Amino acid sequence: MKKVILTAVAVVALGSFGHSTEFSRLKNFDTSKTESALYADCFLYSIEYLEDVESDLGFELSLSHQVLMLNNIYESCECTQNGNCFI
Amino acid sequence: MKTRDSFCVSLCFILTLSFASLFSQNRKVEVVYKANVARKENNQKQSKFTSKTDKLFEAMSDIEMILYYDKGKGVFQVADALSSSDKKDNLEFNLATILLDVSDDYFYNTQMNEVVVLKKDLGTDFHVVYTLNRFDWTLGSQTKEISGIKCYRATAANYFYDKNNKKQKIEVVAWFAPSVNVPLGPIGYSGLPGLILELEEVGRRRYFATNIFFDANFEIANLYEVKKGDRISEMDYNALLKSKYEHFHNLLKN
Repeated sequence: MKKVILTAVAVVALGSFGHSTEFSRLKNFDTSKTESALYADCFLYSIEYLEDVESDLGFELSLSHQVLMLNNIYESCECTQNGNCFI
Repeated sequence: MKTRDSFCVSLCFILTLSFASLFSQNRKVEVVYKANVARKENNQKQSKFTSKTDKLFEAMSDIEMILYYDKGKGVFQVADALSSSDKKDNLEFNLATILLDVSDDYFYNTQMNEVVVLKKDLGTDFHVVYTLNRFDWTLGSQTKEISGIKCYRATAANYFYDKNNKKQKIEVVAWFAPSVNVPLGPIGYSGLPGLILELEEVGRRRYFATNIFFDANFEIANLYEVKKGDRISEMDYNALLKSKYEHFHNLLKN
């Protein structure tokens, strides 16, 4: 159940940033298998990392914290994987 | 009789605050804050993220925040020294600023009775506007000294939306200095008759002043960068987030 909620939140997170150049490419999610795999990996990585942080915190994160954190983790993961960091 | 006594006590308190604040009128004030965040004790778990999570908590302890105040305007932001490109490119530093709510700059205007928070997270810059006096503070008589300044305890409630979009309450305890006539504090907390030198969201986060400088060397006009336009209320901003949530939740279902 927690994963389902987090997945939904992650979708919101990625969607919320859909206007930015990084995440606008998510609209073409199924046009390239390689890119899809990359997005899926980073998507899962973001959720797992966030879950780990949450389990360490002594309190519940707000929706906006989750959205922002997922976005940052995803962005970092994607740029590391495709080698396009900080361009 | 009891009512009369309480009236006298309140009057004396207000007069003390007013008298003390006379000494700090029209002075530039710069306050450096640090924070700590609640972490589960005796958490023995090990995962592939353990070292990253440790770095994140270290980053949260290291981050310094500064509140600048002059002539009714204030700016609260992460200290420059830690905003170097090296730090900004660091994931744990970015996550730490998010968890401490300092990834955005806060612009206070006491004459306009508003706090403007510059949000960049929806692809467009939004200036989210809050009311400066939105907290219903209960003033207490308990005191303690912080950096040699006598502070009074005040409590209030704040709220946030959880991942199920339900409103949750946070208990807030502030320690404010009536002798410093600045009605501001960290991360948007404001509206007390004195500068907030310590603020705790009970069980969550605690912000505390580590240094206070009077007549500091800064120009508020160079820091206060609120532009006209693109203003949005807190309610509208939350509605925008909620609509994004619903839109993408529907996409997920389809």
